[in-house]
Amino acid sequence: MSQVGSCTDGKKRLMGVLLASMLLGCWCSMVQGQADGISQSQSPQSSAASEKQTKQNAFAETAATAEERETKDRKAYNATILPTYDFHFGKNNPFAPGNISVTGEGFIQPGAFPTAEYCGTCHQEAYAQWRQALHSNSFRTPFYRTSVNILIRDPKRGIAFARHCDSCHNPVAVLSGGLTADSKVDRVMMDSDGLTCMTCHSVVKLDSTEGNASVKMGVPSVMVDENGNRIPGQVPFSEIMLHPERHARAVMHDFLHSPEFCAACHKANLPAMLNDYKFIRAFTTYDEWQQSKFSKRNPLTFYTADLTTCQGCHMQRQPTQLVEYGAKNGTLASHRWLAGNTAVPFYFGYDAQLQKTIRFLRSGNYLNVDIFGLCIRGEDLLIAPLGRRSFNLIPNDIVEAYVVIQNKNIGHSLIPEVRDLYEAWVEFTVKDESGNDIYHSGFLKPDGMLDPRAHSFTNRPVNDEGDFVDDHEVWTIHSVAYDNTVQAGRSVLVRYQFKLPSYVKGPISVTAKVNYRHLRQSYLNNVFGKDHAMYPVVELASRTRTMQIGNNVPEEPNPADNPDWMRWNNLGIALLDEQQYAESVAAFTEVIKLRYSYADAYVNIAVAEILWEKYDSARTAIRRALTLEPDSARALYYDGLLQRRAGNVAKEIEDFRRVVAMYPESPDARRELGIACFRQNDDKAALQQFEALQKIDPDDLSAHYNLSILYRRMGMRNKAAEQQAMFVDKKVDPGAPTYSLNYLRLHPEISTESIPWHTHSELFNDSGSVQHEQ
Amino acid sequence: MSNRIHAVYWHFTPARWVLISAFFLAISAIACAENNCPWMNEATASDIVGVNVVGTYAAGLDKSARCTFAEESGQTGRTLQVIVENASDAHADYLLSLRTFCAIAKEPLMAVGNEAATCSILHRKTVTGERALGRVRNQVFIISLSTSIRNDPILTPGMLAMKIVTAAEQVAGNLF
Repeated sequence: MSQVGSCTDGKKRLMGVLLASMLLGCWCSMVQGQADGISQSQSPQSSAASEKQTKQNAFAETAATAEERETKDRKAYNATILPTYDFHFGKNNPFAPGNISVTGEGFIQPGAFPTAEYCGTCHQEAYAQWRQALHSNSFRTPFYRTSVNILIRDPKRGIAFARHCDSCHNPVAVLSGGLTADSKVDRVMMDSDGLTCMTCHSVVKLDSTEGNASVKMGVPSVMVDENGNRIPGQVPFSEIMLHPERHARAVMHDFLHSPEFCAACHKANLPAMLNDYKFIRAFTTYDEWQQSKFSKRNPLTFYTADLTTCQGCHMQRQPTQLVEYGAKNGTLASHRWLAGNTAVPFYFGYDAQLQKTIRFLRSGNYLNVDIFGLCIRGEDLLIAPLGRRSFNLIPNDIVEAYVVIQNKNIGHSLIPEVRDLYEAWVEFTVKDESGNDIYHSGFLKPDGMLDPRAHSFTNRPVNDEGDFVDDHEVWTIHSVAYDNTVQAGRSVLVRYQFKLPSYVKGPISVTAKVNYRHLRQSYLNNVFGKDHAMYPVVELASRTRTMQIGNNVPEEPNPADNPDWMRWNNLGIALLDEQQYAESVAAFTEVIKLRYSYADAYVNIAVAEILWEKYDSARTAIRRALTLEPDSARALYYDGLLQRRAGNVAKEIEDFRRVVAMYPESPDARRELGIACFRQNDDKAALQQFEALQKIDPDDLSAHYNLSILYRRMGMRNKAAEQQAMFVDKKVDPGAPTYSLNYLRLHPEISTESIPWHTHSELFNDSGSVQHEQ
Repeated sequence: MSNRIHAVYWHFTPARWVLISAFFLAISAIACAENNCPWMNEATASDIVGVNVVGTYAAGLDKSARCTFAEESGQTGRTLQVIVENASDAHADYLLSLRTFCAIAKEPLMAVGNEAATCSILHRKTVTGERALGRVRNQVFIISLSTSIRNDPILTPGMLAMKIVTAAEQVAGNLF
């Protein structure tokens, strides 16, 4: 019995083994559990990190998928668009005559651009502002559609040519290949949203300052991955909230804050491929800003100011009212871009935008209107500055009023850009004591048309027949018959002549206003027909003086008036531009009487005398200026010109080098230094200057001209030929004035206005003959 | 005066629209073309209708023209139609067309053309479509977006109201 053991013993052994196994298993579990517990309790971060890693991996996978999907979608999209797209300007210029380009191959599908509504989920304030602003309505506004539709319907041109206009007004339409006959592209979203959020915020590079949308658009992206690679298309909001810095990296760039970004579209030309003629400058608000005191890039301004970019005026930070994740300290750079356009908010019923625009136009002390002086009874004596001098008025006096309008604080001209469409003018009224008109210039007629003899800040582009290009058919423009504006920092003098009636006894009031209407009445008639609402007229600035019949004595200055020295200075500037050099010098001399050590007054005299070709006295004035301010770049510049005149080459070059050192982005300084070096056969130095000038202004004629010669001298024939071709294309057509003269011959009211020195008078008609009293 | 009113009313009576439609039908074999609709392409119309559509364009002899977009699948449920007519007194014609087609209730449409309005198309008190009428200078347009599908999940009443505005913007924009 002892050999096999007993069954009971075997069972007991088996039970023991089982029990031991169980115990061992339990022990192992406990150990494992403790190990787990130790790992969890010892590094919670690594567990969270693990979760985070998982999410990141998932997102990275999503990102990679998004990129793959975008590439595939884009390829498929191009396969549908390419076969029927009209490559009118060549396969290498799919978006010409515009200058816009996009990264990657071919067109980009409209769906690649996240919608404004998507952005507006978190950026509600920006969205609400943008919706009422010009950028979102850039395409759909009827004022634009009327003009571009003419181009599209033109049998000699067609929709392909609209790529010029829509590169700025509807870039998604251009980049998607939508601007072709028999287009397969859905226009709903792009037409409605114009310059949508993801057009500006997808730009990855500024190609140049040539304008016509000179930017490179990236594949739209609202996020980058952890390596900084752009993730195409929309992403879940939760991801953006997790990594706001990656969102910012995708959509924000330093250049968005620069005026060069605005220049991409707020600088335009009409290239030969559009008009089948030659390069014509359309407008360049950017260059006007560069020349203004606000850029700090121009040493030649009459006045100075702190640096203010386009964004500084047109995107001022405002407190937010709606949810806005882009706000900083409760404020956001305004996406209303307040400026001068009252027509669009008026048409669309955007009351907030309209009211803010009107307030903006009136708020900035942008213009100064000065009823500066009087000439009475045909005498030469100018009684000025008004309010500081005594004078006498009697009935039947013939009075000539000098009104000086200063562009005081606008960073560009009044009115910038398409002056042919806008209407700004001076309204001058003289009323008797009962409020009846004695004289009125610049009135609106019952049909809403402006008094044709008003002093208007407008222009008249003409075609090759000398007809006014009324419908903004810019591709037909061959010349500009008349262009009246007030450039930034400068002034104009407007003279009015009127006769005091014999009955007048009591005080008369003389008022000068600068009014503005967006748009010109006849253009509104073109858009809507004549039965349309009266579009808003905004008074930008005004001044009224009350004058006694009899003796008038000096009075307390109005706080809004400029100080006397500036009043004289502005008159001098205006007379300078109207080629009245002797009077200009006299006005600047009055400034010196009031501010003896104001160096710029002497420079101003020198400027007038240089134009007047009185170089000796110009030198005296400049020397005085440099004595007062030896480092004045403005004085040095004009001294350089005078040194050139005198043949003092070394001093000439030294002067211009000093100016360039202080103002390296001044086109004038670069140009003159380039010319000085060129004349000394210092080709290398000249080349350096003209190449720098071309970087500042790609369209500068002297750069093209001189570079073509310099490159040829250095054996760079291809580059020389390129510059020469650009010079030939951009220089003024010598035959162009013929078109202008044809127009002026048929329009005496404009012909008079086109002469800088003219008077608005009820006493003479347009041909200069005496107006007979009725 | 009454003759003029009669003449103008005749211009836009339902009877005349029946005749115009018959006219278009009669000449459709000659004048209908693939979609050369000058006011909207098929891709845009498809977005508005909510399904892929194909378009036909017919130019009338009386300075009117019509674009019709119907479902590509051949089903006749959803259509978008645009009619544009030149008029010597377009404002009067527009008002008449409003009275004819939107007699019951109309919503003025801001910022579309010179003037515009929308109203619903009803069939037995159910909204089966939306209409937009408007004017751009001397041209009057009538746009109809409709569905015959009961409880259409795509062209719901809300969607119809939204899409007719989009259609009006597109057409008016191209007429300017």
